[in-house]
This record gives sequence, C-alpha cells and structure tokens, in this order.
Amino acid sequence: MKIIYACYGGAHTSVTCAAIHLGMLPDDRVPGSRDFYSIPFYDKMPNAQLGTPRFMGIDTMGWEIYVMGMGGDRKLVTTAIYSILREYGLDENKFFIVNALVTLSPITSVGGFCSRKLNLVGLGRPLTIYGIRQTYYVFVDIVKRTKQKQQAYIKAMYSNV
Amino acid sequence: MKSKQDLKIIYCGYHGLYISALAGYMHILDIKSTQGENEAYLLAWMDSITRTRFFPSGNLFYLGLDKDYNEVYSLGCKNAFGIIEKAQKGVVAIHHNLDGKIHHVDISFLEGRLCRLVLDHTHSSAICQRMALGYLRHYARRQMEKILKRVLLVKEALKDGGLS
Repeated sequence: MKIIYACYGGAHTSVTCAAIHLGMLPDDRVPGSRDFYSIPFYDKMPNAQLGTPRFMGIDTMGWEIYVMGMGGDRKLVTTAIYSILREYGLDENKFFIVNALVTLSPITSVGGFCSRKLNLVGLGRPLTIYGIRQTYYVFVDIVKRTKQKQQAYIKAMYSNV
Repeated sequence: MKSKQDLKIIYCGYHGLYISALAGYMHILDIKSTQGENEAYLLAWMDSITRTRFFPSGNLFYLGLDKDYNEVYSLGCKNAFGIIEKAQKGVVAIHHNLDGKIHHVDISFLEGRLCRLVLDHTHSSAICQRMALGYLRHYARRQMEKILKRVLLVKEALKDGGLS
C-alpha cells in the first residue's frame, strides 16, 4: 500500500503533508521554523526530478509514503499513473494519490519561486516556511482525511475476509 | 535473463491518437516504407481509430503486440511528457514485485503547433471536427516519412538492446 502526496514542485506542501503523516511534524500545534529544516526533501526537490516519486518513510500502519511534484497538469499525470497501474493489473485502491496543492498564502508561492526557480534559497526557504505555518492546519486536515480514507480501506478489506 | 515480453513501448503524443497511434501501428506492422498501399492502409486505420475510440489524455491506449511480442501503446501527454515518463517509470519501480520495463518514445515534436491546435477540436462541434480530421489526415500524410524514420530508430535501438 502506498500513498503519494503530490503538489506542483514536490518540495513544500507535499513534503509538509508527508511529514505530518509520518509524525515528523506535529498535528496538534503549529511547529516552529526550525522543525522544517530537519524534514528530508523540504525545499530540496530539483525541477529535473518532477514526476519522480520520492520515498519519505513508512507510517504506523506500514504504508509507504512518497512525495511527488506533478507540475501544472496534476490531473493528467494522475490519470497516467493510474493508467499504468491498470496495465500491470494492480489494484488502484491500494495506491492513494493525495492532492497536497491547496490554496496557499501567496508568501509560500513567492518563497517557492525564489528558492526553486531563482535559486535564492536563503530568501525563499524562510518565506515558504512562514507561509506554510500560516495555513498549517489546512495540511493537518488533508492528512487527517487521508488517514480516515486509509482506515476505511483497511476496514473494508477486513470485512471482505 | 528477462524475456522480451516484459517490455512496454509507449508512443507519446499530444492526445495519444493520430500521430502517436500511427507511429505505434507502424511499429506493430513492421512497415519499412510508407509508399502506395501502406500509406492508404495506415491512413484508413488512423481514420477508423479516430471514429471508434476516444481516450482522454493520460490514458494508455493499447495498440497491439509487435513481432517480438512487446506491448505497444500510445499515450496522450500534452506538454508533460518528461513528468509523465518519470511518474510512470517511478510508480512501476516502487512496486518491487513488478517485472518489466517501459520505454516511452516522444513523438510529439512531429505534431506542429497548428496540429496541436487542431487536435483540441477533434471532439468539438461537427463542422470543426470534420475540418480538424481533414487537416490531420493531410498532416499525417506529409509527416509519414518522418514518423517512420523515428519508429525505425526505436526498432534499431530495441535490436541493439539500447533501450533502458
């Protein structure tokens, strides 16, 4: 079972969601700025890696958690992923692709642009952290809903046994 | 040693129909020339596929098996070829129990800007559709040699084991 948190660049919002899911970031309070620096891949995904799933860890239920940048056409890329899974005869339900691209504070977008596109990491990274902290509970909510979906799937699986 | 049956060859275009499907079909039929009968046959096939199938971009469209029993597909990638290629390969790679390789062939550069614009109208109103299909037929005829060249290059690479 795998969960992929996907956003535009796979560097900020998806990594934040994955980190909350894995318990690297708290889900009951807004973490401090320092906490973000210790998350793997936070603000580190190069543009050339768009589309590549990056492994973040294994959650308490044993599911593998990945992050992925899908560029501007998330729907198309998601369709293409599910399409190849079908061709290999895999159960699509065992593979969650979660949209982590939510309405962000413009500061996050500006920070992401500075850091990833202009390579001004020193300026961009703190801005992204500031912006994400402003809307942190939106990400907590995404993760909560994903975990509920996960539990519903497991429940349905065991009820069929 | 891995059998050749494990290989999936995916011809990627803007919508995954027309030019990329044509390339896939040339691959399957092992065509060496696009002259005479072959041209008429390929164009007729392209027309029939256009009339009978519609897959939204992003969905793999199974075309058939080539002479080495490799599965050949076409795929509509719009402008996201690189991302989709990495995503599909990555997703297959993270399923460790999956055997097999996928090879994506970008054929979208053979679809010009006008062709892409026209492709967007192939499923709109009847008049637009007829005009679009007429243009695509004309365009495919003009590009056939180039498409075949690309297909032959892919086949050559397959023979040399150059596809990763």
